[in-house]
Amino acid sequence: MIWLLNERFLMKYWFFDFDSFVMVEININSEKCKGCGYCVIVCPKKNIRLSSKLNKKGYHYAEIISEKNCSGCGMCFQMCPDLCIEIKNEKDNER
Amino acid sequence: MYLKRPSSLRERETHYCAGCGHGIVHRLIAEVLDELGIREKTIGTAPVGCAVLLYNYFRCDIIECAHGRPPAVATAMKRLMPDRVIFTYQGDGDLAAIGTNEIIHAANRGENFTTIFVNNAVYGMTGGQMAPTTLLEQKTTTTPFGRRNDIEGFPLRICELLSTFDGPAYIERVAVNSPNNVIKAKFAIKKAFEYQLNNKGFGFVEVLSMCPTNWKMSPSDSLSFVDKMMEYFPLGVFKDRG
Amino acid sequence: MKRIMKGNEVFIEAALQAGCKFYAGYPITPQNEAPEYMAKRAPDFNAVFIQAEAELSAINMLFGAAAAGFRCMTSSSSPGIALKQEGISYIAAAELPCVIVNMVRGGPGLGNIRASQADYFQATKGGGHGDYHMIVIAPSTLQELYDLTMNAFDYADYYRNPVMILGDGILGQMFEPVEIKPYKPLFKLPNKNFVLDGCKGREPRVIKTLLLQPPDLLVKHNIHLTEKYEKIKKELCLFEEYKTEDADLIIVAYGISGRIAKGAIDEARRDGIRVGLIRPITVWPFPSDVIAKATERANKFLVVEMSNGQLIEDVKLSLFGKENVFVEHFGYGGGWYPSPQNIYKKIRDVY
Repeated sequence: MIWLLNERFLMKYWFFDFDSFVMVEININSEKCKGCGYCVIVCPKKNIRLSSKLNKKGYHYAEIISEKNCSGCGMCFQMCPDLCIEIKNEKDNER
Repeated sequence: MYLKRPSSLRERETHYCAGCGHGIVHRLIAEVLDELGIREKTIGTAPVGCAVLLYNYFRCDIIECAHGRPPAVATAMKRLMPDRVIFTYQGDGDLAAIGTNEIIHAANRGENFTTIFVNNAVYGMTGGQMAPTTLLEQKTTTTPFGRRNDIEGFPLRICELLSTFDGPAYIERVAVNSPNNVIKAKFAIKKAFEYQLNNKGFGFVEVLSMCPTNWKMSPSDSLSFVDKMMEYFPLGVFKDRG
Repeated sequence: MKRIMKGNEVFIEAALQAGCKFYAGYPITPQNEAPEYMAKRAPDFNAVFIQAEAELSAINMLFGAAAAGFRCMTSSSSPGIALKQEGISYIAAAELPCVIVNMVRGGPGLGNIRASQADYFQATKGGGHGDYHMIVIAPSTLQELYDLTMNAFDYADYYRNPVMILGDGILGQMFEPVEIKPYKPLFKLPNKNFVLDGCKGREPRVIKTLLLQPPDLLVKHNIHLTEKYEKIKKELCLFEEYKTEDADLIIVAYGISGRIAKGAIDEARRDGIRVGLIRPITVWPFPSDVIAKATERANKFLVVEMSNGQLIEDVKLSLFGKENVFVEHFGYGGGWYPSPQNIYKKIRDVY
């Protein structure tokens, strides 16, 4: 049954053994985004999409599909040329 | 882990196109300035090219140079202020066309500054003309039929060229078209700055970068075009005096 | 304490004494002794000497040295100075101080290695692109070359402007006794608050010459530069008048031509010819008022220059509006030299 659970839960389960769990906060600034789509391409979980809506600059901005789904790997951050993305990736015992 | 804007990069939207590699390279350099704690003693040079406005983005002293001349300006500054960190940031026109003389001689003298060479195989700022690094058969506004070696010559491999000199201390070619490559690029840039801090000599990092606008491609296709560039401009270390 | 020195070494010694910490140059006749002497002397003063890969690179190295806040100099001759023009325009636009020495040779093109004065336009009317000026100083003796080179660094720092020493091949090659005076600043020099030396303890600075936005930003900068040049014109104008008190004929000549003309004037005076000399020492700013004022006594001007006709235009401009005034020209470019004899003969023809 375990493979049906989403990865986040799995990580929680995994880290549960070590008495901690991972919390990911990810934020994409939709107004700064120029809609290049690199984040969409590189996200290993296909968890980012370009919105059908437009930001003030007229771009289809990137948005997270499901924040719960984000593993905090940071690949989108590495590729974003405009520093729209902020990722906080904390272990409970680090807080 | 907190991935966010490094403090050496101002909170300012850039004028670069969507999908331009400059944004990524700027961030990598700024992260290195932060991590090595050298922002306050760094002076950078702005080239003539899309990155001419980089002084609006980096939070350090910047001098805007004449086209191709940053290595000459950096030579003088580093000689006069050896305890400061000097870097040049140049595109393919600045470094490989008009500025070949300056980079060759600065590298040959082993000047102790760092050069970041952003190679996107085209002249961006002026609208997409051929660059010395434009690939054969690549169409640009001045090679509308594709670059032909018998008319326009072959693309220039600058890393390979400079690696034949004894002067430079460290030469590496990297790319920013995938997260993996971006992280490797960061290591290379950091290493080049560390070499300067340890007075090891001239550090040179060539970064293959995307230009979706002038390649007339979508950003996703431009990531693949950089893979194509790598066939002619292989990634790797070309010199490392250690 | 006087020493016999070669012209090309004189201005290097003066520069080092005045605190020049950076020199970049490229070999070109007739000023090669300058980088050679600098290469030997620079270590004694803790100065940096670089033989640059080209004159183009040398002027850009100066751009960096000046931005770093150090006194800097380059020297070259006519074709090399032509290569520096873009860099000079940038330095003037960024209002950075530096000293450029031109030992003018015959041109145009590769020309020859004899002396000439055919870079007058290049030096005073621009040379590089855009509306800017260098302060241009034309010494005629090696002592003047020494003194004025020292002063040039002060003018450069005070006005935040490039300064050119307009010499020529003869000045560079000749030997004369020169007194090596210690450096004393001409005036109190302003703090260099534009220097790029790392932003510790202050806001980061930018030195740039691209002024795109708002659309009138560059216009404002041009107005500021114009006002600066007007200020320089009011405050700085060096010239020499020789036997002009009762002269009907005034010779206008600078540099080596001015010096040689004195010999011809003395000879002509013995014949009773009332001739005198106005010798501009700064050719920019140009002593227009002095020349215009001379029309109170004189109505004939003889311009002696080693060129086909460049200084004469500024003389004519100075005499604009004056009636019944005649201006003659004597000289050629390409390495022609005036002599007391040929100037004397011309004086007799023209008087």
